[in-house]
Amino acid sequence: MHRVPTEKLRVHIVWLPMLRSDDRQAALEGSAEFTDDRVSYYWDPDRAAGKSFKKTLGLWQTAWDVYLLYSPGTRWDDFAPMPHYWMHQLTMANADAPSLDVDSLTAATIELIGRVDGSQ
Amino acid sequence: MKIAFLLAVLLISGCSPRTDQLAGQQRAIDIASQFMRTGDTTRLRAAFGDSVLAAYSPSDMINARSDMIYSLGEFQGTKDQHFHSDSESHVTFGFERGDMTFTLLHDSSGKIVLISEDAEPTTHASTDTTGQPITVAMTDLSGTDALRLAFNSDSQFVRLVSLLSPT
Repeated sequence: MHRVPTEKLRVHIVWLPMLRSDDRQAALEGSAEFTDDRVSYYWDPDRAAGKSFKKTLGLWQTAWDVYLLYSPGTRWDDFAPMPHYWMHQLTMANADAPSLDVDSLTAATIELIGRVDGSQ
Repeated sequence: MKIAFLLAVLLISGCSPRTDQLAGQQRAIDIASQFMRTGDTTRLRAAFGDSVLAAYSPSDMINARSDMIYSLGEFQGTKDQHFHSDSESHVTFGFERGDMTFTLLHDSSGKIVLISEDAEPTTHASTDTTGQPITVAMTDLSGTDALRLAFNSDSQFVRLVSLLSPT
């Protein structure tokens, strides 16, 4: 977040119970590790978001360890929307996206913000 | 021994699927478990139906296996299995750091024709090591409505949505 110091970015972090040690308390502790006014946190005990994005991204498993970048104007209506750009941190069997690289994700975010600025 | 086990499973599940179909399901699960243990794909055709094999190549299967091991640690074996009917079973694979439960649909020979990750999360209570209350705003989701509303209310911004395990 500190690498993209702009008010034009919002971040939604959804914690999912994917590992044995995952629970609400761990999610709270994870949320407390990086606080930023632009970040909102969610605890998703039923993995509902993971299942929604699983369908959107065409994955065969619950979507997690994924980073989904959206342009302004993208809305979530009946189904979770397809991201403008996304990365993941697992070598998912059919993930049609690159593995997470923080520099690349940061660059894509800055580029998208710059593109939006340029069009205004 | 296997027959005794299968009978026990039947008694537990309260179902009475035909024994040959049940044996087919058991065989398919055994092969899948062996694949999880070894990564050997040579017997997958005996365990999975054409619909699964068409959707997931052997390399897809190997990648999926790698994902699970990467996420949850080394495969420990089949921890639990239930045969709910002559076409459906549930199997739980145990790993070092967690479990994964799948619902499987079988054809008449017992081959697996559909795999679905079970909706039940495998969570264990954690210990609060500090004893101090953590003051951070976190929304408890019941479904996706709250997330969808927040996402849409931020529609004038570039948004990054991350789905993560907290540990």
